[in-house]
Amino acid sequence: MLEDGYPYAERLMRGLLPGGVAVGGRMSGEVPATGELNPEVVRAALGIPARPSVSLEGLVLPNRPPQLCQGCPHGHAYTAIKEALAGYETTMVTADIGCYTLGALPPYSAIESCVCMGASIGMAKGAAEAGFSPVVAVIGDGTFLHSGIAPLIDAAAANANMTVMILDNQATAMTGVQEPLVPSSRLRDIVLGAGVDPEHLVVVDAHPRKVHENAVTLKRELDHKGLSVVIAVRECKVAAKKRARLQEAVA
Amino acid sequence: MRYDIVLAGVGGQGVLSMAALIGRAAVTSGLVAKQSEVHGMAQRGGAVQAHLRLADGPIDSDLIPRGAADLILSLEPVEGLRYLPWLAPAGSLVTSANAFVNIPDYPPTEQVLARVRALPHAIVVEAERVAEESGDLLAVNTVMVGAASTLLPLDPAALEDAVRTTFARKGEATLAANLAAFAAGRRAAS
Repeated sequence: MLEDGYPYAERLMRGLLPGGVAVGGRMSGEVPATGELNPEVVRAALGIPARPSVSLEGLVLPNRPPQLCQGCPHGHAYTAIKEALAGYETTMVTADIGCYTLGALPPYSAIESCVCMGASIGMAKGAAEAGFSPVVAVIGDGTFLHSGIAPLIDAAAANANMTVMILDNQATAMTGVQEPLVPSSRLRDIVLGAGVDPEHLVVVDAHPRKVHENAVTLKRELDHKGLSVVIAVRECKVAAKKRARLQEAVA
Repeated sequence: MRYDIVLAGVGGQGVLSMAALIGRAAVTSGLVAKQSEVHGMAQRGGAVQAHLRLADGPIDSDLIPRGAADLILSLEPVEGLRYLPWLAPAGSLVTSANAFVNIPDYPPTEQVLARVRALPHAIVVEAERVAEESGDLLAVNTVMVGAASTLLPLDPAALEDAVRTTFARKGEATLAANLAAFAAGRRAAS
């Protein structure tokens, strides 16, 4: 059975066919249990030898993982988070899905989880309850509006000992720079509406020259025993460029 | 007839634009084209590749098996070398000479280019210089399509038409620069 994804039909075939019919596939190892079906995998499964190709022998090429753009405001926010967390021992930084997930890679290596949209806040609450401190949940404005509000209400109701850092770049950048559902200025009201203490809701500018200042602010909120929210605002570089182009086209 | 091309480069360089130009020319020439791509990393500086298969009959899979590509067309030398396992022994690597260095462990460029030149069938084009001389530094990918046109099973006029159709709406200066870039790329590879 050559089946992409989960061995669904293969499993049914195994139950359906009389015992004497051999079924091979992902479940019995002829096809690897994970990964997509490509010509190499199918050839090997069918016992067809690989084709000769040009040799890469002796050649070690560097990987080229994707990275944050030059001057991306998320980078400045991560530098501030790293600075604020330096010196603590039982830290936990959960994160979410977006360009900022690239902060898991060097040179930042700043975040430790990425599960599904909105998971950062719920996981941070769990980590706080398990005794981690300080705990930071990093979430972008797009992901926050998509599915970060419900877990924030939960964290606020419990006054969980954690800090939510909303990286507000005013765009859903990774999927093609879509506009945010609501303007940046209303994020504050939404956070307050979720029940967050206004004393511990801080809005900062993710400017490269304000990294240290923002780290000091963040550290103050990390030391607060309870829930705090820091919104780091600065427009996505790609969104800004796109906006400038549109304005130029209109003019 | 069957012709398999692996296109390579770094996100944002225009790998998919090259695939679109060649694919358009193939379809207007009456061929069948099938393309599959890795995207989403555009603008994020990661490795990007596309498989483009041309044939005069039905194409079953949109993926090129290892060892089957007739051509690797690359906007960057390391990215071109990365896909050598896909190149058939008689296939060609056509690459820009210009390194895109956004990683700390990029090997010495001369070493990379020497490795490219040591291949049995390789064409290296100073694509940035050629694009700049053609009037638009952004036309590097059109230069490389011009270079590949010396090997592709397509009438260069069909490729030139594809350049014209693609860039006509981008203004006269951009169109002229891209037509010049195509011609200059073709000359550089001849």
